[in-house]
Amino acid sequence: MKKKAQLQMSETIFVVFIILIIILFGFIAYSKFQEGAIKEQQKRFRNMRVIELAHRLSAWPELECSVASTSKFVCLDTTKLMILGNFINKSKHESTYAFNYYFDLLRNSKISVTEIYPSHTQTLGVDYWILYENQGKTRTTEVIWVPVNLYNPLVKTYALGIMELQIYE
Amino acid sequence: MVRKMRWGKRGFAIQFNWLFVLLGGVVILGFFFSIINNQTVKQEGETAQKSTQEINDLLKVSLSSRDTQKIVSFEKKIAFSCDDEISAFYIGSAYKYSRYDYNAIFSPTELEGTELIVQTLVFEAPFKVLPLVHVTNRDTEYVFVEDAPVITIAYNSLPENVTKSLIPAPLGTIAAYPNNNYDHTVFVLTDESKLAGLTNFDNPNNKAYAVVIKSGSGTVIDYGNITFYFHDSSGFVDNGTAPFLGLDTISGAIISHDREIYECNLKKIMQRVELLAGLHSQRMFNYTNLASAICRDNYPLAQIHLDNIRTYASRRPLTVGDFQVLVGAMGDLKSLNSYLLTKTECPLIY
Repeated sequence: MKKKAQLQMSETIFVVFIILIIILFGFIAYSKFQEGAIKEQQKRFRNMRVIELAHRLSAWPELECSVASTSKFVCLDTTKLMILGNFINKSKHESTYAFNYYFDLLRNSKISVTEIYPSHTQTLGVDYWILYENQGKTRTTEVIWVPVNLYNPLVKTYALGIMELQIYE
Repeated sequence: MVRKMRWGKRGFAIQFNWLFVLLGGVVILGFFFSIINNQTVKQEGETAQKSTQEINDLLKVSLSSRDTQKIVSFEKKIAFSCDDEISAFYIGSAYKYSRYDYNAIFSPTELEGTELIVQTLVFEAPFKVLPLVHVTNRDTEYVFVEDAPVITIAYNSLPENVTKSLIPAPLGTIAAYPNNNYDHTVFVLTDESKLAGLTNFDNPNNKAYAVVIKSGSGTVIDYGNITFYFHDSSGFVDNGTAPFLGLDTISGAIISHDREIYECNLKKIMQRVELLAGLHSQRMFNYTNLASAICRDNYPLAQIHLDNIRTYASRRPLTVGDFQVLVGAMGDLKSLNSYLLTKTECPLIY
C-alpha cells in the first residue's frame, strides 16, 4: 500500500472514531437528561399520591370531625387522633384485619399531626400525634405538610394544625 | 422453452442468487412482521393497562366522594371477582389485576358496553362506615315486579340512568316477559313462586337472573334475606341466600345479582363496622372520664350499644338474626346521638 493511501486510511479511521465518540457523548447526555426527567416525574407522582392520601385521611370516619352530624373540610377530631394512633400501633404486631386495612392504604409511610396554634409544645398525645409509622428502606419523598383544622369536642375548640406525610419505599 | 433447458453454470448461479434474495426478503419481511405483531400485542396490553388505571382512578375518586352518580364512557370488558382474600378487577388483556381488597364495590361479574354507571353511597351504622360503589351499565336490565313496598323503594334507590322498569305483579307477568336483548335481565321481586318458566324469553340461560327480597319484621328495608337465582335449562335455580342490612345493601345485591360478590362485599362492610365500632367504643370510654360531669353518664350507654354493634358485626356466618340485633343496637345509638345533639351540649358519639 502506498504511503498516501495509508495516511488516508488512518485519517478515515480517526474521523470515524471521533464521530463514534461524539455519538457516545450525545447518547450519555440524552440518557442523563431522560433519567432526570423520569426521576422528576416519579417524584411528582409520589407527591401527588401523598396529597391524595392526605385528602382521603381527612375524610376518614376514624378521624373526621363530627359537629352536629356534618363534615367539615379537612377537619380532624383530636380525641380520635390518639385512639387511632395507639390502635394501629397495637394492631401492627398482630396480622389482623385492622392492620392489613390500614397498611393497604398507608403502606410504608409516616403520618403525624402537630398542633401549631394556639399550643405548640410538641408533646406526644397533647398537641402532637403519630398516626402511623411503618418505615421502609429509604425515604423517597420530601415531607409534605397539609394544613388541617383540629377540633377538640370535649372543650369545643378549634386549633390550627399541620399533617406531616412521608412515604418510604 | 428451449433456452430455458440450456441453463449453464452461470444460469444456475443467477437463479440461486434470486432464490437467496427471495429467502433474504422473506426473512427480513418476517422480522418486520414479528416486530409489528409484538408492538400490536404490547399496545393492546398497554391500552388495557391504561384502562385499568382509568377505572382505578375513577373508583378511587368514587371512594372519596359521597352520594354521587356518574356515567363514564368505557368500551372495554371488565371482569370483577371478589372472595374472602382477594377482590380484583381486570380489563381486556391487562397484564395485572387491580385489587380492591378493602373497598366494597357491588357490580355484576362482567360488564361490557360503551358506558359505565357508577353510584357512590355511604354506608352508615349509624356512624359513617365506608363508601359503597355500585357499578353497572345500560346493557343490564333490571325489572322490578311491583309486589311489595320494598320493591318500589329498591327501584327508586337504583341510579337514574340504569335500564330499569317497574312491572305489575300478577302471576305470569315474569313468564310473559320478553327478551329485550340486554346482556343480563335481572328480575327483582319478593315472591319466588312468581319465578315460573320464562315462556316468552328467548334463550334465557346465562341471561336471566332473579333477586328475591324477604324483609324482616322491622321496616321493610332494615334487614332481611336476599336469595339469588340464575336461569339454566331447568328454569330459575336457587344460588343461595344472604342477609341484607339497609337499603344500600339491597341495591348492592340487585346491582351485582351475584351472591358471591354480594356476600364478599357485605363481609367487608361488616369488618369495617366492627373496626369502627371498636374505635368509637374506646373513645366513649375516654369521654366517660374526660367529659364534663353533666355529660359523662351518656357515654357508658353509648359504649354498650357500640359493643353490641361490634359483637354482632363480627359474627360469621352472617345471619338475619344477628342483623336484627344489629338494627336494634344501631337504632339505640342513633337515638342517643340525636338526644346529645338536640337536648344537650355534650360531645357527640359520631
